[in-house]
Amino acid sequence: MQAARSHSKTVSAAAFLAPFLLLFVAFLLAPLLYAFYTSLFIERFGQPIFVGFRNYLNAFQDGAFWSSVVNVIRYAILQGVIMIALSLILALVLDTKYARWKPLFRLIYFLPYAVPGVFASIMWGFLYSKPLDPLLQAIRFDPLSSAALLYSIINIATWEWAGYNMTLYSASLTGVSTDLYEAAIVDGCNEFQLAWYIKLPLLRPTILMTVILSFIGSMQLFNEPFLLSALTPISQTFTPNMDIYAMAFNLTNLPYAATLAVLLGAITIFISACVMIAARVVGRRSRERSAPLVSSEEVLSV
Amino acid sequence: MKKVHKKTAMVGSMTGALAVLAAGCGTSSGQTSTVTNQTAAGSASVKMVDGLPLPQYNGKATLTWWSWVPNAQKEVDIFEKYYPNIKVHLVDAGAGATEYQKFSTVIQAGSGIPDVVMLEFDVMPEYIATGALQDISPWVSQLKNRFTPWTWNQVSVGSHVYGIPEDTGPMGLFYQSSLFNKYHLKVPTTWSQFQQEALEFHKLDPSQYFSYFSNNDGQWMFGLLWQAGCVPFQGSGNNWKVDIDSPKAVQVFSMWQKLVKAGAVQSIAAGSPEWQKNINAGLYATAVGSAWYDSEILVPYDHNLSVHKWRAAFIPEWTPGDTTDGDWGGSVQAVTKATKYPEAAAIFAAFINAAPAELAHDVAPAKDGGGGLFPAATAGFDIPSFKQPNPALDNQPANVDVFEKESPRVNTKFQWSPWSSYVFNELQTEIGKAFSGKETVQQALANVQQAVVNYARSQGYNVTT
Repeated sequence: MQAARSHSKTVSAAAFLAPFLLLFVAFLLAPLLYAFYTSLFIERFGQPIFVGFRNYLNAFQDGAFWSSVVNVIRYAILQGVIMIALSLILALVLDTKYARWKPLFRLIYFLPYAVPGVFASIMWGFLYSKPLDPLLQAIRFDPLSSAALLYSIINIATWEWAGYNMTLYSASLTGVSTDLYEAAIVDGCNEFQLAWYIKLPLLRPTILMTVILSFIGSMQLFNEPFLLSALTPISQTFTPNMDIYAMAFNLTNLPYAATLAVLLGAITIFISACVMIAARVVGRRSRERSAPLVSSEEVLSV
Repeated sequence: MKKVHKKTAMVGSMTGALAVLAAGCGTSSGQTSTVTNQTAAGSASVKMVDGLPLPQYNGKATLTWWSWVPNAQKEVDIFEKYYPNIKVHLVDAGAGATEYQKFSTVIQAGSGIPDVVMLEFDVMPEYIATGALQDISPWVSQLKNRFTPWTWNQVSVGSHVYGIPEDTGPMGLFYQSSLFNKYHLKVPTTWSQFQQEALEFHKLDPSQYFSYFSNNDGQWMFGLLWQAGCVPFQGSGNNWKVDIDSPKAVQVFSMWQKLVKAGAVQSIAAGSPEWQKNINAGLYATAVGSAWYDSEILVPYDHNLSVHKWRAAFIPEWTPGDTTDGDWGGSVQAVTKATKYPEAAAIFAAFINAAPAELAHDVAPAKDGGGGLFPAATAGFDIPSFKQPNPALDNQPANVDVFEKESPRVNTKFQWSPWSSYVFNELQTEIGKAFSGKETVQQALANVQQAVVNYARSQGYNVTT
């Protein structure tokens, strides 16, 4: 009887998991393995020739690819810090008792996220276009010049994603019991201290999640520079994804595009894992050093 | 034929309402035909079809043709009169890079491949190397002497022929005669004269530029090298010699760098809104263009042609008395390996580009319902509409005055490599760095050379330098 029940449990569990597993295999695992397989060949006169890991050896010496990787890492750090700081400030300010029309402002800040990335890039492209913009002409600033380009893209991404991350933080904060805040206020906390010593530590898991998601998104930077390249010369190797796209579709070099894609995936997974491990170590150490008012896990388990 | 505004056109179509950019992809739809010779009914048994020695075709065939030539359906209509048993289905798969991406995708997929496809000369070696194209020499090799010689070299490897040249772009110097009269400038015949006048002109009128440098167009930059007599690539099949950083090439880009630095020439992305605005405002006294420049650039973007009074002149030379020219843009109708009807496809590609009935249509201005092409078939030069005064160029008969004469001067030794898009991107990136002072022109070209050699070797090519 017992065995039969656990068996039926296994079956129902499998039934619930199967759709995910199927999609996971069909749209992630299988293409990943196929990309890796493709990367072991070169194509000559329409015929694939097996070359083992030679594409990877070439990729390791491919200066343009590595400088594009450095480019997006720099972008990821700069954009990540600016955006997350802004999102946090917006979320914490909206969470204070002084804030008015909270739902309205939440909606306004969230709106840019509702604009598809491609449209946002085109729209910003026009705003950035110096000959069409008397304001830019007056201050003699060209946001599409090669020196300013990276920062202009950071601005687009921050505009688009800050509200989205703010919404995640706001959602986490609404889950917190108000008893905690009342207790803190009774203990003499002002609004700033409340935000700094209580809300921020509570948000730590959410922040970690958004940092990693934003990092992964940044590594795949494509839409913005790709569309802006209609307005200003942007190298095809400005970001790794543009490089991969050009390899696959301009040069029809699918094996090498697959090689670079596999490498980019590996780099992204590696750095994400490092960030998670580092966050865990830092979290543990800070907890050991000075026991905070309440640890985030305790609160969430209440 | 060449479209410089591939990406701009794409953005334009995405935004839709933003007509500023969308102007790049408009083609006229005037239907007044100038074709007169449509009498002969091509009986399947004749060997001479409209004056062309082409094979008879008795079977039935249906072809799919990808092309972005203006009024291409008209070419099909004329062809079907002579070959009624070959039906052609025309598809506009986009221009230039947009079409190549789709073409590469269907080649990889192995389905949906057209029988005949329009390609530019610079991508021919790439598609020949990837085995996408069909050798059509059995049906068309007798037509070789009907085309400008260098064009035939670029569609063939040894005795194998992979496509029929359609049009070319021998380069010339376009100038605003209004400005040249106002400032009493002489049309430069050498690059040193060009350089000197550029610096003087900028002093006379600092609000204008003597010319512009297309910093986003590697194909145009290679046109400059071609015209200077550089031969950056030589070879076929597996064996290639790469020589991008020759002293001549350094000299070419150093001159432009110097002029950009002095403010006499603007380095700008051709096709960008700023560039469009500047062309319309007549900000550039000259432009380094080619035979199609007036119909593809001046007519669509300069709405003050009657004020600016553009005219065409011979391209300036590096050595006084020399007559070397280069080519910028030009296309081919190639037959794909996947076609079920290679013979019918070869006949179609040859007929639309060399038959007198077709040429009369091909060379007529696109605005009048023609193809607007500077033909690769030399018979096209004898057609009255080809010789007419050009209203876009102050009624100068520029084809006769300039381009017909420049066409045989195009350096026949120049070859494209199988890695054109890679090479263009590297060159644009490095020249951009050199022009912004991050490195010298010498270093920039050496970097391009190194990167291209490494890339080619990584693809299994045998490369010498």
